[in-house]
Formats: sequence, C-alpha cells, structure tokens
Amino acid sequence: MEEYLVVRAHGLKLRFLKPEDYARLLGATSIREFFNILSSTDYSGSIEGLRWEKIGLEDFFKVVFNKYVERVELISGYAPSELGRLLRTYALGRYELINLKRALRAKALGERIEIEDLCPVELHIHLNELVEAEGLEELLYMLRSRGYRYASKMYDVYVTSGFLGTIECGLEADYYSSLYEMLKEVATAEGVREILDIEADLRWLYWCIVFKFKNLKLTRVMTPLRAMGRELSERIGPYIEEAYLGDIPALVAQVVRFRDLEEALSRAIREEDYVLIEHALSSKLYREAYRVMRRDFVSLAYVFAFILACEMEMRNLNAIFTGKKVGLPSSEIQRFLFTY
Amino acid sequence: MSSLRYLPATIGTLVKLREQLQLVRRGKEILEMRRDQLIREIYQLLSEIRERERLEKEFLRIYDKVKELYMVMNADNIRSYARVVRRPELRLLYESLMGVKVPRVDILSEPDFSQVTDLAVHALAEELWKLLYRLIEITRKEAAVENLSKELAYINRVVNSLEKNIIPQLNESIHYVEEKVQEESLSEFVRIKKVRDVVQRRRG
Repeated sequence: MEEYLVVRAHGLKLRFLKPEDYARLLGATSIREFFNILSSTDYSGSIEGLRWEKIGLEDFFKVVFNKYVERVELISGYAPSELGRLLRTYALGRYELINLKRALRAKALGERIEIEDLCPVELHIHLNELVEAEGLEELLYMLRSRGYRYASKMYDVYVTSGFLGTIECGLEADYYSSLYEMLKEVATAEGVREILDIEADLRWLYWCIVFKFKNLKLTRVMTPLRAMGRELSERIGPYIEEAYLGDIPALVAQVVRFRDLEEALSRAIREEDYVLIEHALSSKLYREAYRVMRRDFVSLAYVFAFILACEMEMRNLNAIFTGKKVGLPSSEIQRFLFTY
Repeated sequence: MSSLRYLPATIGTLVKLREQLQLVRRGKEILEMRRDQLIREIYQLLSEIRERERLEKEFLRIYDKVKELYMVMNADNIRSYARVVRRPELRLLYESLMGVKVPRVDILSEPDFSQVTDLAVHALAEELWKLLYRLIEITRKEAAVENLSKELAYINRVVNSLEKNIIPQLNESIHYVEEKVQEESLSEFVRIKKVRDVVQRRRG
C-alpha cells in the first residue's frame, strides 16, 4: 500500500507548478494576467468562477489552501488508516496549530475571533469551539482535555513571564510529540523520522531565537523545547542558554546538517531583518524535503516530502499574489520564493 | 482718524495727540519685537520640521518591509499578531506658545508589543511606532507653525497699518493742531499788544 501511495505522490507531483510557470506568474503585469496564467495550471478548477478584480489577500490564501487540503486528502485517502491519520495530522495539524495560536492571541487580550479569521481546517478541534471559548483559561482547559499537555503546562510560565510565546511553543511541542507518537505505529518510518527531526529542530531553533530576543531564560521553557529538539538541540542545547543572540548562527554551524543556515541567520540577526529568519528556516526545511525526494524516491519519506513540497508551492503562490497585489517588483518577490 | 481733523485745535488736544502718538509708537515697537520673536520661533520650528522628509523616506522603507512581511507570512497571520498589541493612548491638548494656541499630544501609554511572538512583526511594529511618534511630534510642530504664521500675518497687518496709516495721520493731525495753536497764539499775542496799545493811549 505504501508503494502505491508513493506512486500516487509521484503522479501528483507532476501537477506542480513548473519553473516556467513561476517565471510567467512573476512576469504577470496585472492580477488579471496572473489569473489567466494560473488558469492554465492545476489551479484552474480552484479559481474557476472567481472575480479576479475583487479577490483579496485572505480570499486568495483560502483558494490555494483549499488546493493544498485537496492534495493532502487525496494522498492520505489512499493510505491505511494509521498512516492516513499521520499524514493528515502532519499536513493539516500545522494549520490547526496556526488557528490555535490565533485564538490564543485573541483570547489573551479578551478580543473576539471570527471563523473567517481562521484557516478552514478542523482536525481535532472545531472552529466553532475556538470562536466560542470565553477566555484564555477556557481555551487552555479545552486544549488540556484534548491532550495538549505542553501548552497547558506553559500557562504558569505565561502568567509569570507575560509572554504568550511560551504557550505557542508548548502547542508546537504538542504537535511534534503527537506526530512522533503516531510515527511509532508506522513500520517503515526511517526517512519520515529524518524529515520530522529536521523540522522539529528548526522549530526548536526558531523558539530559542525568539526567547533570546525576548530575554526569557530558556530554562523556564525547557519542557516544550526538550520535547521538540532533536540532533541540533542535543548538540548545541547545552551552550545556547549562555549564548548571546548574535552567537547562535556560529553555534548552529557546529552541526554539519545545519551549517548552511549560518550565513542567512547571521545576516538576519546582524541587520535586524528578522523576516529573513523565518524565511531561512522554512527554506532549509523545503531544501531538505527536496533532498529526501531525490534520495528516497520510493519510500514513505517521499510522501512526507511531497506534502512539504505542496506547502511550499502554496506559500510561493501566495507570496507571488501578495507581492503583485501590494505592488512589489518581481525581483523583490523572487527573493522570497522557495525554488529547488 | 480722519475725525482728528475736527478736534478743537487747543494745547490740550496737542498734548493728547502727542501722548497718543507716543503710545502708538511704543505699541508698534512692542508688536515689532513680538513679530521678531515669532519669526525666530517659526524659523526654529521650521528647521525641526525639515526632518519630515527624512522620516517619510524612513516610513517608505518600513512600508516596503511590511509588504515583504505580508508576502512571507500572510494577511490573516499579521492581523492575528495585531490583535495582541495594546494600542497607544494619546491625548490632544492645546498650550500657549507666545500667546498663540498650539496643539500638544501627550502619550498617555505606549503601545505594548510584548505579546507579539513573531520576531519580524515585533521588530517592525516597534520600528513603526518609533517613527510614528516622531511623525506625531513633527505634525504638532507643523500645526504650531501654521498657527504662529497666522498670528505673524495678523501682527504684520497691524504693524503695517500703524506704520502706513495711523502714525502718519497722527503726525499730520499734530502738525495741523500745532499750526492752528501757533496761529491762535500769534493772533492772541497781536490782540494783547493791540489791547495794550489801546490801554496806554487811554491812559496817555
């Protein structure tokens, strides 16, 4: 069954946008032209009937996100139940995570959140439940009852530190822990574990940088960080507590697999251009996914890498559309595209 | 002022007119001093306002960064981060600068970005607030310059009116009354002499 899944992923990958499609989309001189080009790709069905002149940034994201979900549902639909659940949790759980974070932010300041503010994904929690939760405590109580133990544990740290990122970090730790738990049920999981390890390590690094930036002692958030971190955390974890923010890239360079991050991270921290940090980390993840795709092209890891490639395409399309909509030149948009 | 022509040509009137001229001249001097002070103040503010051009360039740079941020993250995410920012509280008051009403903006509380968990959003939001704070200050100075300029234009009109209209008219009236008074005192002198001659002739 796994082989069939891999073959399906190979087949679906043929529907991805090609470099020449990206070049044409980047060269589009208007939103109308952008939609015309998109209508000749796999997205033709998704944009059919859309009024291009009225579509906003949020609407377009929902269009490409629905395509992403469609691809994930298609591939996970062919998988045996356990594997299918793992694939769906991996691909959609991260967007449920985004929803949870958005709900947390709104509830923390006592603001309302609407369903339109959330990604259209309901994996473990209904969107209505997020909207209707009365406050932060009620939301965390609900999360605790659904097994989000790290997020709930971080509430005390949040109260004393006043930084919501502690709970957000806990949520991510819950996400990766649940994936590792589910992975135990899958027989041939080696390549998949590698992808997960890299991703979890990158998120660990991201949160370390955030906590350093916020001057929050890492020892206070050690529980979720420990649950997330893998090779990178094992190798540089003991030193990162004492390190300055500017020293982190050099520390990361000590680990061969992550050495290529050093330059981008150094530049981002030196120039205080923090948008490049998120971009560099995502870039690294997708680069690794493509490496796995080339190496393990007949294993289950290929399917997970395929999911990451789907996500990458979604983000690329969204970036091009947003860039065009806000009037950025193509050269500037291209800087933020992930292409391998 | 044309009514001055119909004043009784007496010494009393002349004294009053001279006092009036002195008062007007003193008033004009004071207004000129105030005008100079206003000009100095306006120049001082104008040199500070020149910073606006640089701030606007800075604003455009940050705006481009925000566009990049929208591209890397997405609009929903950025809106979500915006939710956790405590908005600043501002109070608009008016204060007196050299007797002219100028606006003053008090920052009662600064925005709080501490809950923004994304580094890029946090850094950009802080940068944008620092810039906005300076822009508010510049705008306040621009409004002050506008109000001071209105006052300056008014003082200029008054000084011009005193200089070109009131003072010459007062001078003219004084001159007229002086002539009249001199004429009268001369005729009085002649009359007295004639009366003296008549008295001396009768005695004689």
